[in-house]
Amino acid sequence: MLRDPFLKGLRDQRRSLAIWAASVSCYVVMMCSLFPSIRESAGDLQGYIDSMPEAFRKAFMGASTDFGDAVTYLNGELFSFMTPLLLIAFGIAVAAAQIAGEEESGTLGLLLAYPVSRARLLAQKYAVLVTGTVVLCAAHLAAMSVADVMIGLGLPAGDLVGAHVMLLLLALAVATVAFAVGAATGKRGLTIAIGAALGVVAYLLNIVAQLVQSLLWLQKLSLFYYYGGAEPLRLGLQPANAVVLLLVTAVAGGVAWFAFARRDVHV
Amino acid sequence: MALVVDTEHLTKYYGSSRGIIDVDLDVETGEVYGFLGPNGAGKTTTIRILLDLIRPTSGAATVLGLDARRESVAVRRRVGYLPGEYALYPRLTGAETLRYYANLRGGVDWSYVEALAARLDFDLGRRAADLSTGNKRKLGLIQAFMHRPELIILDEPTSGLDPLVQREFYAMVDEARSAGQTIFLSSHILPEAQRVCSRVGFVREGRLVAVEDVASLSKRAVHHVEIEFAGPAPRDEFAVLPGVGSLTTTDHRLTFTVRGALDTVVKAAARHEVIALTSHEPDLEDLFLAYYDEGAGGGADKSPGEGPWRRDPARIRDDPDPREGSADAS
Repeated sequence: MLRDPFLKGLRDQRRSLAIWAASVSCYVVMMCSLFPSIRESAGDLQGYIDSMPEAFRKAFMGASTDFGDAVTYLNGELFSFMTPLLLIAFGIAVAAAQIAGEEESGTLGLLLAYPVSRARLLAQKYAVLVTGTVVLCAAHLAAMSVADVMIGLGLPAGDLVGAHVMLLLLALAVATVAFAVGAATGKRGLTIAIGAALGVVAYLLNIVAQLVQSLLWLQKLSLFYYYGGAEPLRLGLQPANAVVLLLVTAVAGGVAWFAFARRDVHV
Repeated sequence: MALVVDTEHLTKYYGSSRGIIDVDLDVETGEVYGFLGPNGAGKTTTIRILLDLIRPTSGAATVLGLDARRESVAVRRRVGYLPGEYALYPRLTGAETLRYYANLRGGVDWSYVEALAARLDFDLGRRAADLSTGNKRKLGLIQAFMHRPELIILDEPTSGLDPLVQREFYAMVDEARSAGQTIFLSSHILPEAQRVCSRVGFVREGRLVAVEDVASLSKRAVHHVEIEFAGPAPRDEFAVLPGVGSLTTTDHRLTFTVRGALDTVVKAAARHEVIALTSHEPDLEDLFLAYYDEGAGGGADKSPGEGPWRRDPARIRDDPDPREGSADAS
């Protein structure tokens, strides 16, 4: 596991990744197992939901408001907020630990005195981030699939996988921007701050744009909009939106490479 | 002779603050080159440019005939480097850390790593988080030497090492030189450079102000001489001798400095009954002060205590050479 920076990176985060994956899986199974009792009281809940202003309802719940439906329920409880929040938080944390983390702790200078090009190091560090995020996303998907079978949620398999692909792309887009900040500046705090700010702004922008009709165009500036907003599990894989998220990731990755290859490395 | 390190007008500014200015280095194959100067003079900046960790504002550097910037990976394959400051991965043991570094290089003979560890009395099994400063430096030295590189760049190699380990380190440097390896080391500890280097470059406020052979430096050295006579000290006889200065007399005792050879002084002393004669060999600090004062045009206002080479107690303690202590006591 100490053969190269990629494998060492995986080794460094094996424990934290295992904890993250286990926690996320437990949370998913717990939320899924609450669904049968929610469905029973869906009638009472529906009156409450229907009394909300339409724009508000749409912003937080999407087009479907039927809480007796598992897809709507999981969109509201997991996919619209909690799940992307967790994935993004994980992605930012891992991104910050790569170039910026190694630079601030003082190990990067010696590492780069070895015959490893900056581009190669950057690629391997980025691969650590991608691998970790894919594993966490897969754990989420696996937990949900197991819960689906156990509880009989009847989730459409295609959309389930599609939603997870969109989830992965959203988390990677935000985390790659954070990674680029770390690669360009070597500052861990700034990496986390900008990554977190991007995630929060993207989420709020998508909500606010829907609440204020005249600001609806702002939605297009939000990564959450391309991810599927409040109803990723109903929308499934959205190829055009996926391309937008991939483009953001690619541009951020390019910036990371360009900036890191050119700048001075601190101690 | 082929140049191992060759820089031309190497200049680095950090924003508007000075790093180094117009540094022209030429380190030849097989020599031990001491890069000397006080902290903040620009030694580390120069070294970091050679390894492409930072990029020069202007000028160029070649290392082992390769462009330090464009062919940096090839340069780093053939160079060993001990940074002045660095951190280790706290959760890895010494052995794991060195395995990782050896894997990044490829082709490292692990039995040689173990031999170096044994030689420096370094425990490979301890986790980096539990290592003392001295042990961290040992690990740094091992990774710099472990692939028997053609060029070894050492930034303040002995800081934090205890005297026994320092002695072992000096032996390692001597052996590396015998094996044809080139060593470029920075130091602010002048007696250390005097002990291991064949040539020294003095850097001051970002500029390389002098490059000298250690041997020829010693020839035009300033000796500190003290003579105790049986009778009254013949002050006037010595005051007129060429090269003699800073003459003081106390009773039967005469102390002075001599620039250059001691011959005339010894012959003058021979005409009197001499009880004791001691001569302290000059250290590089005095040599450089003499050099720098000449360069600055007299510089009578610069006493050794105020110059850039101020001799602080910590530095003297760093020096394993007992001669230094007695020189100060006298």
